[in-house]
Amino acid sequence: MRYRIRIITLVLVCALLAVALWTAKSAWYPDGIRPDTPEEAVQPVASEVSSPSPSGQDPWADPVNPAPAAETVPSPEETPASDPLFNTFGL
Amino acid sequence: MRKHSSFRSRVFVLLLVLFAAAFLLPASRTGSPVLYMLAAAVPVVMLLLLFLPAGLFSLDRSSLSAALSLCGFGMLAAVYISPDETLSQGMRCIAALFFLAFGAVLVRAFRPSVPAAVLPALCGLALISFPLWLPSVSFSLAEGGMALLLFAVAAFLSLRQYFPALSASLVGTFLLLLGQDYGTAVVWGLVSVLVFWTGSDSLLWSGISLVSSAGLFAILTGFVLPVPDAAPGMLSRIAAMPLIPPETIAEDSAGFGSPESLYFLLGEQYGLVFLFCALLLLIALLIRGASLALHTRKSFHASLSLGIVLLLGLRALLFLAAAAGLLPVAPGAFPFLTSSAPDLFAHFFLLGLLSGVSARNDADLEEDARLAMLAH
Repeated sequence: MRYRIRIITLVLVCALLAVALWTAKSAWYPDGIRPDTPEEAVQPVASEVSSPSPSGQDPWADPVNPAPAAETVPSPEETPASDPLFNTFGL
Repeated sequence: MRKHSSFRSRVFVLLLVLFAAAFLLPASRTGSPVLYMLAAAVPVVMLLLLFLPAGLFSLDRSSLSAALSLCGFGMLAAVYISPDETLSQGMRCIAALFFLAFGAVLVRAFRPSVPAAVLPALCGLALISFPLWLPSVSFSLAEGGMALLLFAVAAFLSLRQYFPALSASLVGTFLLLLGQDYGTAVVWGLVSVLVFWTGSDSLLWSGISLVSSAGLFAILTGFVLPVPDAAPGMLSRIAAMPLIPPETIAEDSAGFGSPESLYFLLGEQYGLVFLFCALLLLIALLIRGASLALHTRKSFHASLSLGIVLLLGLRALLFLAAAAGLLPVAPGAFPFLTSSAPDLFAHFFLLGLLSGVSARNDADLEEDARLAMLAH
């Protein structure tokens, strides 16, 4: 019985690690070539992106000192171009 | 033994520090007081839960710390949805501890007998068939049903009642297939066959269980039930995950609400390496369960422990395989890392059963030490 338990556990753990590594490899190297940036992989469809807050309000906003709402879209020179934090949390 | 326990203590302290830092990261970015509170509260609550209930109910600290860490990962993933969802996930984990204690007490108090095994079998089958009685209900109680059914099958096998054990297994598989929960049916089929192979001393009965399970699958899926549509898999979502936590918070592209969403949220916000660490935690839990099965004295406890290891491990394997598109089924719930309350309660119930076996092992060792002392 103990021999069988060891065999089963070993096979299970190896299968888990194998599937996990295979998934990571398949996702990152679909054709054997790694994309330069994650954006070059398949993009999620815009309609599938769900807003973290259906009401459109920032769920983590400080109720005491709410951040002022931006009236215009900030220009790339004013905000870091690659930082969605500002867009997401309305800072 | 002391070296191992001090190593485990260090690993757990490291995990607590990690959780504090992981909650402080979004807290420092957003300035949210709730996140600062969670950064302090989550490690403290985990520490309290590890020592107070564990001491009270003689729970296995190794497996409990792994499960609590996975629950903490679930809360980390929910952080990027809303504060309410984070607190709800925390409440679900704390409520699940009741089932953990129940499982531990059940194993310690249970004495295998045929009438005592029939009750969990019937309860398990009732939970598994729940969607057939109420098809409008969106949640499933199959995980809890399988846990109770496993308990009954292990009890029947320890009493060498192979026919009731086989009947309970096959009826469970049949009900799962009838409810078109193919993934869970595959998991239960494999668990029952492997537990039969390990728990029964008869190759004949092991062969009968294998042939009957395979035959049931072939007949129902081949002639009676509709073939499931090929699921698209989620390789695209996995491909979009960074390797390490990104400098900025990723937009929520995973959506929220399905049982598997916490797993993908964790990967998108903290990276693949973090996700792999969660998998390693689960593997540590499975190895601990197998170790308990190897050191137990009674075949009931050994079959039960192995069955729990298989239920959790095969559930995780099914999740990963379905996410990779290898299987045409929904991923379902990753063990302990799910927003589905019934599944989380069932997983903690299984952990409680494992803790009960560990407590029995320790009691047997103490009895041996006492007898050895008396002999001298």
